[in-house]
Amino acid sequence: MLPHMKQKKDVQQGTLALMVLKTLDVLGPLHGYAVARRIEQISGDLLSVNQGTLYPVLLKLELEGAIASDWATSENNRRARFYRLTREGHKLLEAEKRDWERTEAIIARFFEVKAEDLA
Amino acid sequence: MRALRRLFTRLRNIATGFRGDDRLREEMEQHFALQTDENMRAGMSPTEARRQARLKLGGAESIREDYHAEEGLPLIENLMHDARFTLRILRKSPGFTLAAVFTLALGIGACTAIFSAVNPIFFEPLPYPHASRILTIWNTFKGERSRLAFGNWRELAERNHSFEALSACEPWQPVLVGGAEPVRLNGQRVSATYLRVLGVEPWLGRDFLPAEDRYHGPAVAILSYRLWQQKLGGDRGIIGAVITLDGDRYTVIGVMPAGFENVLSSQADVWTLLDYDVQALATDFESGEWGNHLYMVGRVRPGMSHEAAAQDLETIAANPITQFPHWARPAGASLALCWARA
Repeated sequence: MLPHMKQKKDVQQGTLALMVLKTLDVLGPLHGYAVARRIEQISGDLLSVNQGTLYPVLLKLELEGAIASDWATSENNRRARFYRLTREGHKLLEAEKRDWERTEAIIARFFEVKAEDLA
Repeated sequence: MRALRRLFTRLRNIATGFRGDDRLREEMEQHFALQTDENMRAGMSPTEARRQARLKLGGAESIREDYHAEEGLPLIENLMHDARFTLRILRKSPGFTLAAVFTLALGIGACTAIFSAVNPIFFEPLPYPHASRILTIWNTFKGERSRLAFGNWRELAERNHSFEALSACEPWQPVLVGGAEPVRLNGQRVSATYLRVLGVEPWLGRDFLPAEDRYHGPAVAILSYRLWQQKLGGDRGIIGAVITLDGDRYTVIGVMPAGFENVLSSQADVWTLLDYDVQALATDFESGEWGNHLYMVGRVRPGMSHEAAAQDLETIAANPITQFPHWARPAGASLALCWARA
């Protein structure tokens, strides 16, 4: 795998993980499909194809203890695995959110800088 | 912390052979079904609805791989696969396997043997306290290194300012009688300061005294632990006892510690004092006192550099006491010092 490909994937996985956490935070326990739908609605192209990539991310978050899951019956009487945010996941979300905001602020300042400001 | 927990879970999955295949398949089927339903509600034909749902879900195989990578530790799992494959292949060709194993065994064995020999010689410090201060001293003549004479030692020992102790020694192979059979021993004749140079004291009894270190002085001997145990009964009453070496009677004054390593003569089991006549130095240049058969080893004073010690001895060697009016220093003669490994 080429280095830049790997990097791109990592960034996306990280972004996706954050979106999953936020979605579960806002909407409460959801099954995988509902999480995917929600992220698709909000983010558009990031998860309109390859929605299956969500499942490895869910597993990773669960192994880290940020989310937990149980089998339950879904709204249309199908068996589905429902994911919910744990307390640790909540803390993780807060931390990640702060990180994002800080990064965003820094990047924004960089874009605002004009040549004459640096003189 | 999170990474640690993930690692443990992964390790547990590998150890228990846990596979989330079923879980993943069920979840993906579920996802697929829900998407298909929704597509149909949006007005697609069932076939089209399934097709679109499958497209949206993405490549099942690559997702399964990602999922597995998340579950276990791919590196270790691949390694285990490789190992299993290797074992199968090796079992299929026993002749090749045998040759390979034999070659490897020989190679590893030889390396280990060479390393065990080289390691103590080149890498480990001498087994003595402050070993870096221990030097051996040699004569050099036209580039050739040679041993020194008693006369050299005496002059260097008396006039130097840089050594705490400077000792001469020579091999000695006395025959011990008194047991069932006579035994030839390896030993050393040494100056009284020899053990002080090495920084080791006898474990039982005492060290040589300076006063004993003279021509026809008292015949005293220090034994190795090994000799004391194996040939002389290992009795603590050995101190003060008399043993017969080469027909002469020696009083045992000490026994060295069991772990004592005598690097200059590793097989030595018995030590006594040199027996040279200081008077002969001045009268007879052809005497044994001027024969070059002594090794010399010294312990430099703390804080004194090796170079300064070498310079000190060089200066003495360049200006011999004029006890011998006819003697001139041979051209090309000088002293060489060997650094102890440290």
